[in-house]
Amino acid sequence: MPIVEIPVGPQHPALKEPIRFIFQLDGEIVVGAEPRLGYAHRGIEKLAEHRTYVQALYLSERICGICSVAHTTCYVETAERVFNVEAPPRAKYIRVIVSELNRIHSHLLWLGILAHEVGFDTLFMYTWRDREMVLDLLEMITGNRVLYAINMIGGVRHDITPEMADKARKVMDYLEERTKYYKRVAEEDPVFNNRLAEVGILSPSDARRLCAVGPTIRGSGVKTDIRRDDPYSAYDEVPFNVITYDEGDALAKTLVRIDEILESINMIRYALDHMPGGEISVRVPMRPPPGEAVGRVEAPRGELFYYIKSDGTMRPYRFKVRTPTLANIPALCRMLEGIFVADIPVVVASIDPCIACMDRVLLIDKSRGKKWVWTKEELRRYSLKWYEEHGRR
Amino acid sequence: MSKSETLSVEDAIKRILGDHVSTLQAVPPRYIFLELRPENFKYDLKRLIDELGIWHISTISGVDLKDSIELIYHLWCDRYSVGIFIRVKLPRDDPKIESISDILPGAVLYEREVYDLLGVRFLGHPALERLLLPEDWPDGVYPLRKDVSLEEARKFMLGKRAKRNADS
Amino acid sequence: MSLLLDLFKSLVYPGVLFVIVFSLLLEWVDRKIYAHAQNRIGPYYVGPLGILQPFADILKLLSKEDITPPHVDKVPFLLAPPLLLYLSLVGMYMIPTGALGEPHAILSFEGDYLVVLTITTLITMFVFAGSWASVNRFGAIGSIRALLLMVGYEVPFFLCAAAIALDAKTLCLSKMAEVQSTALWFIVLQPLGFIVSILSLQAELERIPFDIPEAETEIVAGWLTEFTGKKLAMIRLTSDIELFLLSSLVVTLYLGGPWGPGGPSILWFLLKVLGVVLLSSVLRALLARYRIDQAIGFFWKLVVPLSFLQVALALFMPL
Repeated sequence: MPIVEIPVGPQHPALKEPIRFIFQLDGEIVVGAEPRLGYAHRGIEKLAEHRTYVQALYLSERICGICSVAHTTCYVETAERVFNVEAPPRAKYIRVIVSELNRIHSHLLWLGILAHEVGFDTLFMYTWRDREMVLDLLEMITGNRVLYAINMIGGVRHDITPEMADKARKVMDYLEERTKYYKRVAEEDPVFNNRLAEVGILSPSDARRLCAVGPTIRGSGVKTDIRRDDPYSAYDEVPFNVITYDEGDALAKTLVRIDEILESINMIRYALDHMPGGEISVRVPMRPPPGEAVGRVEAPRGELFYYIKSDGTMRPYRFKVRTPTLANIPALCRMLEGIFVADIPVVVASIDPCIACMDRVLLIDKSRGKKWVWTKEELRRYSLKWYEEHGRR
Repeated sequence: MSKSETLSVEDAIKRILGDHVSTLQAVPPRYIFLELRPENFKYDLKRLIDELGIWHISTISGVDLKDSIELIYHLWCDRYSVGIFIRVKLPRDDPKIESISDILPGAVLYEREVYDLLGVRFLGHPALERLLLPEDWPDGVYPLRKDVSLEEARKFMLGKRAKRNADS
Repeated sequence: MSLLLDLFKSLVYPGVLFVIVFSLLLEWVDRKIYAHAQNRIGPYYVGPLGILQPFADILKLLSKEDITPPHVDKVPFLLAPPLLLYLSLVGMYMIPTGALGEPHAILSFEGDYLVVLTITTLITMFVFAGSWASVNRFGAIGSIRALLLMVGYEVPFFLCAAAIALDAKTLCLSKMAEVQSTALWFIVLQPLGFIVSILSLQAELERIPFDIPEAETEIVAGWLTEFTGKKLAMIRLTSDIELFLLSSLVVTLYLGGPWGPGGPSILWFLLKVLGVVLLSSVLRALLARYRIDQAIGFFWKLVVPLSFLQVALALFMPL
């Protein structure tokens, strides 16, 4: 049978965000996959060079909605190294707590999406309901549900009060029970299990060779985790296990993420119990000394990498981001080889892709100029103007 | 992660590369910046990778220094638990360097990204094509170079769309 | 007078109007159960507890723009939806519902059993013809998957149907129901057949775990992709009536049809239908979707042997 090439994307129901693959098919079997990225490229790296360090913090938060706190943590950790300041211990613990809550929320969200991809909508609804509790908790601590804006260079914005800690502990107990239940579902439900086991296998040698990161490589049995290898914030003080599974298939990646939720729950409990007192932020000068710094953070999807170079002015000279999804794309293409067409959604979902995050990003609307905060009135006027120009359809 | 370990990895690097290393700067607790010359770059890198058992590359970041283009290869060494960041400076008018995608296949997309955004040519790369920028982006304009202003980048990014908007 | 009564029976009750209204109610029941199993509310706003939501959905679709893409093969594409609706309604005529206290269906004759079984097959064939004619990649894949799936569930379902006919010694649905009124229900005598029939019903209706022909995350809406407006409304209505038809077939074959204490009554019948729909909805909520090869494997490796066993049992251990 001749090899048939079919393009999938940039719009496709299995892909929640724009990315394009060209699949080479031999009948029902995929023999090759070539990705085309950039549909959500917004040029944030260039834009950040024209923003002050504080503005760039908000920019970095907006790279990704789901792992937003991983981006700001990475940004402030890197920027603090450039500024030569250190956040107070309590702030570091709060960063750990918010990061781990974010990881739980991201993994639950992912589990729901995976369930939806295999047509298991009941699990999808259940996980997303439980995820709401994490979001409520995050809203209570930070005041926001998606972009938390908790981190600042030199500390954090909001403290965690004892009442909040009590509430969080209760939610953790509930979530632990639920997560154990989901683990049983993933291990025991025959249909769900059939769709995931032995699908999209990534061998440990391929995972290392192609520099996969995060749960994708840990699902192949390679024990690597930035939180352990290159600890930041207070991760060197909070005990946890690095979860690995050896099979390398979609099921192993699922179980890695579910077990990581359980680890995160324990980490949050430990951090809440052992939080040191004191200040939550320190003052930071406007201008850093010239220099450069690297920051690495274990985002829910894997290693997040920032590089900031300063030339002594108020604006970063170079701001470089490498998100985990980009690192996992070569491994994904390897995993897609030799699978059935019907498994494509599962395998693509198994790396937990975040396309907007990966493409990063150019554009702010020029007509808005440099204005970031809009009043309701201005927004109304803008919308009226827009409709005048474009006509009502 | 004691200090002696960091020192020993510095020694190890010096022993492997000898005088090919021009600067070596340790950033406690776990990072080391070093600079290599572009001529022997791939050979030196391969020796370093083989001797230290490095398998992970985080990314390649390119910086336009106005008089040259600097690439930093961010490697992670499991054996010593250190990040080894290798700097190499290329001439700005014709930046090119040997591709390392055959020794570290994980670098394929990062090299394409640097090529796309900074215009560095990687010799021997299997498919050095555009990665992120749109198809109608003009050749020879690299958005992360300092001589491309934000306004220009915006104009090119909009591309055909800008023209269409202007016409209507 | 008898002509008027016949007209009333065929068009209003228990004919067309009743079937349509009750099918839409069944959709509401199905959606409510599915939603509650998932910790959702389900239809809520239209009518008390959202009971009118399926009616509103159909009305909405009827008022939508009806698009016929330029490249489609017009005859099968335009004919398939009304034919599907027509076929499923005809099937319902032969089901003994017990309406007006009558033990027989509106259309009842020796051999109507075969007609109903043929109709269930024809529905899948028309689905294939219509979506194949729509010249859409997702439609084409969906229609092929529908046919493939049919290869899986048709054989075991017909085998079990044969087992029932062997035991009941008739090919008339109304008589089959009557047989069970004096003896035991067939669910007791042929439990394997009942299980196989429920699984086949799930596959025939393209419900989870066998919703492979319209797997949203893989092939958009599958074979439905190009159908819009009135055509989609007819297809939606057909799938509701098909749910009614197949669950009443199961009720007739295994649960004694309209017979219950006090003779045949439509109340017994509808209660039993609701029970079957409940079972099907719970199955839908509990399971994930099979891959097509896994589904076919499941049917041929597990369900077909089961149904052969059932036929053998029926042959060697008659009533």
